[in-house]
Amino acid sequence: MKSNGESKGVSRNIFNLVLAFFIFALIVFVFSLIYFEILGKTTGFASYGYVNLTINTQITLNVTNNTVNWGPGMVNAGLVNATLITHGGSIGTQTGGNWSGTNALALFVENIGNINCSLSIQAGKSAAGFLSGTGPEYQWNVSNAHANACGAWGELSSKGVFVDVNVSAAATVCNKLDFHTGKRGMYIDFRLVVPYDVNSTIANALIADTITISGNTAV
Amino acid sequence: MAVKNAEKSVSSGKVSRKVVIALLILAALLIVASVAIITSNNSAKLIVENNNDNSNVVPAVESAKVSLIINPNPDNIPK
Repeated sequence: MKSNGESKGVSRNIFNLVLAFFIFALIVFVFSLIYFEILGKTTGFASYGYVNLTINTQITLNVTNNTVNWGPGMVNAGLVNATLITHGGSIGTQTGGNWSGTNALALFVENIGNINCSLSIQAGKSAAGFLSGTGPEYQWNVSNAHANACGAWGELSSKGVFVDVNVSAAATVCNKLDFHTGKRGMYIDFRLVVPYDVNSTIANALIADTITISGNTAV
Repeated sequence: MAVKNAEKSVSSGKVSRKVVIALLILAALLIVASVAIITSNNSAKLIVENNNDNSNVVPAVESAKVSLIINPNPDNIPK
């Protein structure tokens, strides 16, 4: 006597459909194994593979040459002043006095962060406050040490041209300073006109002014 | 095995219901396994998210100096 399961068997057509579905599933399965190279992996199935990588932006300025040092000197006899000028990475020159420009190179500023930034500079003293005397001048100019380092100039009056330093507020001299190696350096040059009649309180003493250099988000 | 049993049953004109159910279950399992493989591999992509939010950038501030010594010249009488 046959069991109920066998006596109530399904027809050949239905079986064929089921068989076709089974074969289809088998093909899909084998295809997925081959296509995704599961068989060759030792790690088996990966549950998920999400990698969240966050890159923080950072502005960092590096002032490689951070001191313009003219050392001692005097205005030549018979002259009302001496003019001292820095020239980028070359030694400074002067006329009308006997200062040495050996240690008087321009400030060299680099953006060593990972985004472009703006560059602002501010002096601590005006010409009169720094040098005193009759007709002193204290000026700066900004230029590219690396070609095209500054992609958008700020205060154009200071680009390659000496202008009086800013004391009351910072001057944004470059709106977009690049950060790529070999394209991120700028010079800040200075021009001093030293009067012969400086105030006795600063005569023979080391006088200095502090320049504040700021890097912020590129404009 | 299931297919072999099925062939035996087919010879009688009718196929055992158990065999058909077994085939269906196997096919379903294969489909589920295939979907698992496909979805697991699709999710294994490297997603790089760069939170380039400049509002959190901290300004950099450096300082530099300009210095000199001015010695008065005793002979310095402007002409």
